Amino acid sequence: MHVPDGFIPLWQCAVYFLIIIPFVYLSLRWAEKELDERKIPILGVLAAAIFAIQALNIPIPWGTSGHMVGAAMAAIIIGSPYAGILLLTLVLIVQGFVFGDGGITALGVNIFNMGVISSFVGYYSFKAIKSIKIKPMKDSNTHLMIAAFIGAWLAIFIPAIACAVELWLAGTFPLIQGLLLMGIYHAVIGIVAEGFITATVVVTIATYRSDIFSDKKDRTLDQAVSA
Amino acid sequence: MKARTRKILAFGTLMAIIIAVAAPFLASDNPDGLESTAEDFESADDKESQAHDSPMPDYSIPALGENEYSGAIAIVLGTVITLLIVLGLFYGLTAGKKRSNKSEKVKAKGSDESNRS
Repeated sequence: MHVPDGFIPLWQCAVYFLIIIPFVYLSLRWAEKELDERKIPILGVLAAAIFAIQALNIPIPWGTSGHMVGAAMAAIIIGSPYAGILLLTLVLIVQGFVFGDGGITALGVNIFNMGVISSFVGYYSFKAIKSIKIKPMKDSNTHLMIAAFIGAWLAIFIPAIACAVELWLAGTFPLIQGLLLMGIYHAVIGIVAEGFITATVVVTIATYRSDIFSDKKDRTLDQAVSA
Repeated sequence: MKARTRKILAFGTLMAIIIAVAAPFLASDNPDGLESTAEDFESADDKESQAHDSPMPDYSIPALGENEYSGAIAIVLGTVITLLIVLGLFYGLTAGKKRSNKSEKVKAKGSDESNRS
């Protein structure tokens, strides 16, 4: 979903840079306040893992492929959407400047889609699904897995829809066909990459290393972890 | 750094490096969702431009050509660069906090002493 240079007119690129400034600022303030000796290495490892896994394109039908974004995974593990925004901002900067993946003028729109939108959508939909009490579901790991899967799926699908609208505003994609194709491709990528990997990682951590979850106030996650 | 934290750092970094090395051998060469969509529209044709020359374009080392090994080295380098940037930035951000905590403590101590006298 990395928008290259040239797809969006410069003045619109500038608007996206302006939109992300407050979010990146709030994320840095969050990091200053919340991060400690224990969380920093986890964030470092998550960033490295997100960079590596984004290089792994998984084939989907129609001669297309796609990779995980990872913002939802980071936000769920650390317990804040700001973690996802910060890590994706840094990963996208490295990808854009060092590897030519995603444009430099399009850095703002890419951070907006894959950092801001993906983190907020993924984290809060995960929390919402996690807080629904489902009586017959006694195995809380199943509940955790479903919440992480759906949260992660939405965290790639919704940014893809936003991206289609942005490219329509840029005059690059027609609206309806753009929405359809971007939606269908990323709905599939959301299942085979984002949803599957995020759910697996979150449940694995909950099972073996629940101390990694940073969101101590999140009782739903605590319950899942202690069960 | 505590032993548990060190273990997470070592294990996580190892996992990321393994994925980075394997990625060029396993990854699909097909265009991604956005590129596939763009291929369908004339309005997107030839619009792509390069605003900047990157040192490792398309995840490969130029001197080694475009093959899986060159890709693996480039992606491992990217993974390590990302790790170092994140650790550097966040340790830098929180170092300021620690220093100000310390100076607050010193101040509190100082006021204690002045109270006593």
